[in-house]
Amino acid sequence: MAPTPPNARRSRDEPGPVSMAGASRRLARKPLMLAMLVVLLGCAAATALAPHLAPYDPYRVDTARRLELPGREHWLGTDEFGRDVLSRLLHGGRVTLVVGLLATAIGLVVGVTVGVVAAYFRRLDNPIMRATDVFMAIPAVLLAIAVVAVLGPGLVQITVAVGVSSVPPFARLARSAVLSLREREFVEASRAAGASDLFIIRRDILPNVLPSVLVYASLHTARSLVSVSILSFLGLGVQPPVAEWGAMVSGARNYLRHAPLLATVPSMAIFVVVLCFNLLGDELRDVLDPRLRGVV
Amino acid sequence: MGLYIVRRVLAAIPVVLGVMVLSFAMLHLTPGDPAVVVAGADAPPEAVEAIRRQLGLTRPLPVQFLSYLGQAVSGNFGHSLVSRKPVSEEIRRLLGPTLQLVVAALGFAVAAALGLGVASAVWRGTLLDRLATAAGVLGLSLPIFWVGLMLIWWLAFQWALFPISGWGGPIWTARGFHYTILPALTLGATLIGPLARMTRATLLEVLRQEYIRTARAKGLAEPRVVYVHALGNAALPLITVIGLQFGYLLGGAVVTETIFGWPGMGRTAVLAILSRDFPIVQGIVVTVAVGFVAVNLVVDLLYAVFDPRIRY
Repeated sequence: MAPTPPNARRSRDEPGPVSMAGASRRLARKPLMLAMLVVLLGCAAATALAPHLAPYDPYRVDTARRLELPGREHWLGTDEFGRDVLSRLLHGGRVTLVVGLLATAIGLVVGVTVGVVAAYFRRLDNPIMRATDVFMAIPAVLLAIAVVAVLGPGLVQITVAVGVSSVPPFARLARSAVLSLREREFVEASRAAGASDLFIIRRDILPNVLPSVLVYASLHTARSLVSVSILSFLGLGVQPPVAEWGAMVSGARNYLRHAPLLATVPSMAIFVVVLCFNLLGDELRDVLDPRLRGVV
Repeated sequence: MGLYIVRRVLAAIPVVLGVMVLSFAMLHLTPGDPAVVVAGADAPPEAVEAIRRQLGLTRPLPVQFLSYLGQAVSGNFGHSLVSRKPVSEEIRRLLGPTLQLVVAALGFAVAAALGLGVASAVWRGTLLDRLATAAGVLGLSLPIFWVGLMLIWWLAFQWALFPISGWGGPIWTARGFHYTILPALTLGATLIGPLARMTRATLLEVLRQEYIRTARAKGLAEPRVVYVHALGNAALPLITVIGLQFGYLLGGAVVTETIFGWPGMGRTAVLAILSRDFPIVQGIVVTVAVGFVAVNLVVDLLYAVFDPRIRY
């Protein structure tokens, strides 16, 4: 680790509200982050435009051409039912990405609300935090499995399942951020000026909680995507024949010996997207809030 | 210290009770009649009635809850709806394989991460360091099921070195060890990245301390400085990371057990959901949560062991 320059030390010791201004300037100095953003937007565009881009119907079965290797007609080959893998990859990405992002969004909105309420209204703090303790005591994948056990397998169900398991970490993060903010002078100034709780939360607290929440959201989206694909891989998520990356790997499992590529193609898609969100989160942390190093 | 342990154990009790409330609520939060949910929508009315009686759903809810809680505290989660055996008996059977898998994976991951992390820290900035760092980031993002499937394809199908799947017995038997290797590699691989990263970072931090300079100045051999003086002091953050990652490890165990047909709690939980065997799912969720809470407790207590300056 290089010796810390004096000005960096000051900014770390002096917890101040983090401004979003200057973030874009620092962004320009982060080529890796820009690259990640481009790859992610590319993935999003490719899957959003899947019906137009996909060369074949992802559900068209062609039993004469099962388990073909990549070739001129099928760029990524065909699966166990002779369906075009590239088309399924593009369509499947929509499901994986939408469910993963939606689940993170549920966790973010509910979690931040809960966290802010717990930290701002101190009487609710203890009961709320003990409740998150209980949820945190169950590993995320198992919690999601328990929710699926109640709701049954399916697309909406895994969104809720992964969303529910995302609430506690967001709540904890928001709570600790608000706890330090609410004692700050600018919050006190607002209160002295007669601002209502709601106004203070909306104008003073939330904008300052946002950077750390965004950093965590990027890292957490990677985890959500992993959870979604794991649930589908286990047969608890999206049901066949719907194309979804984890479900595609699950289907390819039985043909592993002769067609390892079939399991690898959707796995690599998951890998690329998860890697992008992980790296993006790391870089975002440096850009938005360097003080978070080692915290999130 | 003794008081601290007692306080921490007492603090864990409400959490465990909360998990039990949650697992009880699991069945009763289901939209519609729990008995129908368990039996399946197209089950004949007699079957639904039988399950209602078996689960004690005819009694008032508070009575049900108290009886569930009383039973659960003594480790009794009723009977499996599929095998008809007591859930506690099933879990006892599943506990060994899961523990074996998790401990073996943890051992492998710690060994690999220490090797990688120490090498990266000692030869800092070299190609090896950069490769190790990159591999850690990449490995963290690889889907665990793909790692498992590729290990099977490569080492079990292509090279026929290991069995494709199954349980070969306890790890101290030759057969059991042989069967444990691939699942443990799969599960452990996910942990190497974060652990190696932490090892490198803390070791670099520790190596700059003055007592390291003292150790070198008094002429100790470099390996002794690194492995005894530095690594011993880097243990604490590593234990923290292991504690933090343990939840993911348990989640990964579900996938690993499913891929390798490993007769543990993770695979059984998945099968139980698919066969609507609620008591088994409840028992496993509570057991895993208790284990998870216990591990975090142990991690906290280990702080005091590894850092004598910490006193409670």
